[in-house]
Amino acid sequence: MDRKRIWVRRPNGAATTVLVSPSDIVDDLKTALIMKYATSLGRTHDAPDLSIRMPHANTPSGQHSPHGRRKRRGDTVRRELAAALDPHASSQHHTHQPGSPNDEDDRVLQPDEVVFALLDKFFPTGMNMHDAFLVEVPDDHMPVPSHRVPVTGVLTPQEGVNSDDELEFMRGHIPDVSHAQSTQSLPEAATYHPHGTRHGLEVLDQQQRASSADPYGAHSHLHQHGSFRQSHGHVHRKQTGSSASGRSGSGANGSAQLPVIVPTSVVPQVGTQSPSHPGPPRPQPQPIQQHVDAHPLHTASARSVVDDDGRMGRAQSPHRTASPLPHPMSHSQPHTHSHSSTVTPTQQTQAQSHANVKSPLQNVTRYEDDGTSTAVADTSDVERGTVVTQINGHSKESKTDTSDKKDNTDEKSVNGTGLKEKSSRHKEMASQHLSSGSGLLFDGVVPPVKVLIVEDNIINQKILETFMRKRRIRSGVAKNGKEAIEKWREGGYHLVLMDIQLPVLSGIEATKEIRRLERRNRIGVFVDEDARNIKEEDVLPPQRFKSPVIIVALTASSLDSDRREALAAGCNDFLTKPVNLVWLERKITEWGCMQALIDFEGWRSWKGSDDAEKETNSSSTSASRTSRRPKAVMRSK
Amino acid sequence: MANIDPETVVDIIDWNTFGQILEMDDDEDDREFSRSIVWNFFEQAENTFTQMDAALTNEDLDQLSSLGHFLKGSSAALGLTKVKNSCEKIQHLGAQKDEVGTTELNDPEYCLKQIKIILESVRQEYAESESFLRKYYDSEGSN
Repeated sequence: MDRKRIWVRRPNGAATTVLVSPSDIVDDLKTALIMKYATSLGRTHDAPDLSIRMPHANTPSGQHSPHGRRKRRGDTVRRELAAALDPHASSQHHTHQPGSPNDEDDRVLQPDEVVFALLDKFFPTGMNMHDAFLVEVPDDHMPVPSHRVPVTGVLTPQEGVNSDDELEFMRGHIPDVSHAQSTQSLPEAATYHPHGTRHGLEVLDQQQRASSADPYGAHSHLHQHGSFRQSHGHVHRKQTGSSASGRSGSGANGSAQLPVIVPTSVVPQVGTQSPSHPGPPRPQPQPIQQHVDAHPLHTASARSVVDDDGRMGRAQSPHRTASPLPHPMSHSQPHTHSHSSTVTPTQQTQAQSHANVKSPLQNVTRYEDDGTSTAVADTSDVERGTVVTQINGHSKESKTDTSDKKDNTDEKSVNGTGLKEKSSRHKEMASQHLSSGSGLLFDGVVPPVKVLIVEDNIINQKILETFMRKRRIRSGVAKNGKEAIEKWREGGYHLVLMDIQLPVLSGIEATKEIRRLERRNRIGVFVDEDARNIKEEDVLPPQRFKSPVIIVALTASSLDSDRREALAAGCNDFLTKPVNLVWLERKITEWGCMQALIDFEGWRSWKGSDDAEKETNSSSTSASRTSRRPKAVMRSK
Repeated sequence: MANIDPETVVDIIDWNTFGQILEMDDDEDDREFSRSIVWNFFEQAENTFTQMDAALTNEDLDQLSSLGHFLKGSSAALGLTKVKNSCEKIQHLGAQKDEVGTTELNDPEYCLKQIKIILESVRQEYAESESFLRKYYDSEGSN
């Protein structure tokens, strides 16, 4: 037996299991638990924050307690049993400060304890569900609100700032590491299936409730991100609904615990931190795992459609047309979506939002699908990087898992002069670095978006332009803020990479003007009330502007004030220059896929798929249309 | 090649960044794309330095700041860390802030003086980078 099952539960939650290996220590267990509770604890807490207690008073309502069995476990257990029989012990759990030394009945597991040793000691006959360890977070360790929270209220959704963004942003500067994290998490994710052992609503906290009732629900809040008009209210309703049912559910348990849990899980979703990135760096085992199998098919079809420059779109049935958008349902159940006339707007939206979540993650999934050791290669990228620079002339061993295409050149140059060798090794690093990220888009999903590059420096312009061209992403260039506005007004752009410090008109000013025009033209959720009095020079052709453009600020400095200014002006996100191309690629995938979904009609119109139009005149797509100008959409073909 | 110690290369150029540019080359023998970028940069840098000299003569701090910012962008994109850092300093000093851009100085005299010093060193750093890059492409071409 190489692995053992550990029973755990959250206070008031149902027991569930994770698997541990012989060498795992409690710290590893915590990491596993973060994966397990990916949508609740995982969102707000880091593994080290968890506290795992071996509660010997943990029989929830006194039901089926295997006391008889326990007695066999020697003195410790017998003493602990006394605690188990104490009727108050259970209700104390949530107020219990983990690590509190004066509570001898509960044993807080120390991070360095070997899990197997614990099992052998305390559960020599095997761990039973009722022995479940309690997983807790310290009460005082509520998620610390982002410092931007106070302004969230005045920001429009497209301006939505949140600490997740920031986190991701930070990770963006160490892409190898973040990558390593997400790929590493995959195998574990497969093991710790979050749904596997759930027993019912009573066990779930806020977000889990939402997700168990509707697997996509938990992710719907991502809409806010992309400034979905429709979703806003919908998400909200959903939240309240589930929280209401949650309370009654927990009421049955007679616990005062929910007020403790609720803020941790709900607050981030509803507003404070809400638009969490769907980006790859955040390990989200749930969606990944659910769709791993279907993935290769999907990639294949996506590629074929995109590569064929719009031609294929014509011949495709609607669900094929949809496939470049990472749409899990469209391939696993190809017909459900496009042909069903019973799809309600709500369902559609949920599915879309789920696809939003899926899309960037898919990139991560690919590592597994490739069947190579890329996942391993990836995780070790960082270390290898260091090793390579340190150990002179010893690069061959690290070469084993380099991407194939680079091998020859590297081999060739390794034997050169010292400098040559050095540089080739560096190159190798860079190429591993890159191939780990860019391999994805070269043969993976390219969001069918058009990107406006706003850069005053011709060198940076060229780099970004070439980057886009190589990935078959259409792009335009503007060299200052004024030009940016002009180009944007032509319509058709989904994503703007906006340098902030620009001549003539700064990126900040340009962004503000774009947002002002969007509001005047009632594009997006937050619009000017008196938009009817719009001046003629402000009018935008409606069919070309269906949703607010996503503006990613390129800030030269890492100063927080700059980022804040950019976000306050209406940028959705930011990247620090020099732009890490791996990270840029992720941003484009992530934002691009989202925009493609939001502006699906627009996307299809430039793909020129008239066939799809006939098909989708049926109720299914009219339901999915998020535009408030359905007629204009159809005419725009 | 021999006169450049491999270890110092790390200071001159950040290979993670430059590697991303190299990665975009279709053909690794002629390295057409990255070569054109780099040669463009040489041109741009020379131009910018000339303009900086002029601005320094005119005591035009604003212009110096914006030129510093301009060259910072492209040198950063190529991973020329040293040049980038110096350009950033010029940008800040031109805006009458201290080198890291956090404190207001309001001392044009001092700022101009500092910029003059930094301008000299950045030329030196640029020369190092240029020489390194030219050698790099020479050796690439001969492969």
